[in-house]
Amino acid sequence: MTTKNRPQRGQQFGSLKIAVATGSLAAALLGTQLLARQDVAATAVAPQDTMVLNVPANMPTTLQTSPAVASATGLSQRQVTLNLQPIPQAAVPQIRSAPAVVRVAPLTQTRSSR
Amino acid sequence: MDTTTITCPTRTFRAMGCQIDLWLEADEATGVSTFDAVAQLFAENERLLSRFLPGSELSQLNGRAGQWVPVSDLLWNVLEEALIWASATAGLFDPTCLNALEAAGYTASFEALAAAQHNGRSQTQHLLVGQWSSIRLDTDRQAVYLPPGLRIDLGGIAKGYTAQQAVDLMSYQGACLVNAGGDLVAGAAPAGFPGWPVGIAHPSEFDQANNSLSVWLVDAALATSGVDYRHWTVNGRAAHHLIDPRTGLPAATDLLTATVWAAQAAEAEVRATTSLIMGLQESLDFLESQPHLAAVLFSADGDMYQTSTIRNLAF
Repeated sequence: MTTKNRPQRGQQFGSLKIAVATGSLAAALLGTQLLARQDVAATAVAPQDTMVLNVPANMPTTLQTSPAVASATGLSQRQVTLNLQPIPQAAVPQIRSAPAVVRVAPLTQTRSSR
Repeated sequence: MDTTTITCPTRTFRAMGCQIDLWLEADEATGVSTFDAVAQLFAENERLLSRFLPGSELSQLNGRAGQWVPVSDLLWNVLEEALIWASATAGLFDPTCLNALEAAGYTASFEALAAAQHNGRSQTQHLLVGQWSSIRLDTDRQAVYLPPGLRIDLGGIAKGYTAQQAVDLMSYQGACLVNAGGDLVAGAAPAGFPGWPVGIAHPSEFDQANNSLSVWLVDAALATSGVDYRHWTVNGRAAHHLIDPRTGLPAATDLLTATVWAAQAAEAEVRATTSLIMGLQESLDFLESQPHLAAVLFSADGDMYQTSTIRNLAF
């Protein structure tokens, strides 16, 4: 008896598994579609468009969109903050200032070879 | 306003025909052992790279023109650096100037010339244009081929290379500064200061006691080339040690000295030398177009010119 029931129970569970898997797949696909539509609506930028952000080397490391820019780009009521890492620069002659209260005598001097 | 001085172990010795001064921010014992190592470094590099020592590796290479000669790592690296700068300056810096230097009367170290009041031989033109490019290097065998008759001098660039090596070595122990015969190379800044406070001297014809300008130097080099000190006469005509490769003669320059700041000693040295050769207007235009350099130039009549970038370093 036991041996006869086993195939039937297995068939039942197999059908149930297929139904659950199919349902999950359908839900996932539907969810992805919905999210994609939401993204397009929220950014108002067509997926194929390329956004180029030109960042001058000497700008502050935090950039905030102005209300005018936000309005023009459809970002009203939202503010975007980009945290930019400093751009590495080639070595240039630049030094921090010494404290003004300190006067330092030069240790040595550069001059033509002797 | 209080005047502050930086106190740390220091040492002075002579090498490569000039006075070497070292400063190291460390305890006395570390200073002594590190300075010993640096003095040994200068002595060893001079033994290999001096054109005035007949037994130096450089003299042996010069004596074997027309043959492939395997060379040490040091000679290879310095020669390679010299050729890179010869290429970068379109031949205005040229290490193949030894025949022209000797023809101009620079036949012995300047100390020996001064002691003997040597006046040099008659000036003969040794055109150098592009001669550096005829040197061949075999990287696999680390060997050098000088065409017959060609001889090289690595004077200034060898000194700058060694000073940079010294700073690299001393930097393991602390903030440091090297003055190699007037060419300065600095490591990290001493504690509490934005850099090492150093001066840029007036040319020797003018007020040597006072600096024309004081600047902070940190992780960089400041080199001065000049015709204000190493000069002599050849048959009544003024001569000096800076050869213009375009003429093969001592450069006819309207500058007395050129001081250049750069991130590395080799570039500071080369740019200072080529500025002298180019003369006031051409070098000032060039240096202003290079934001990674800073410079102070003195014209023959003692007027000072500086690039805008030098202000970022001055105090």
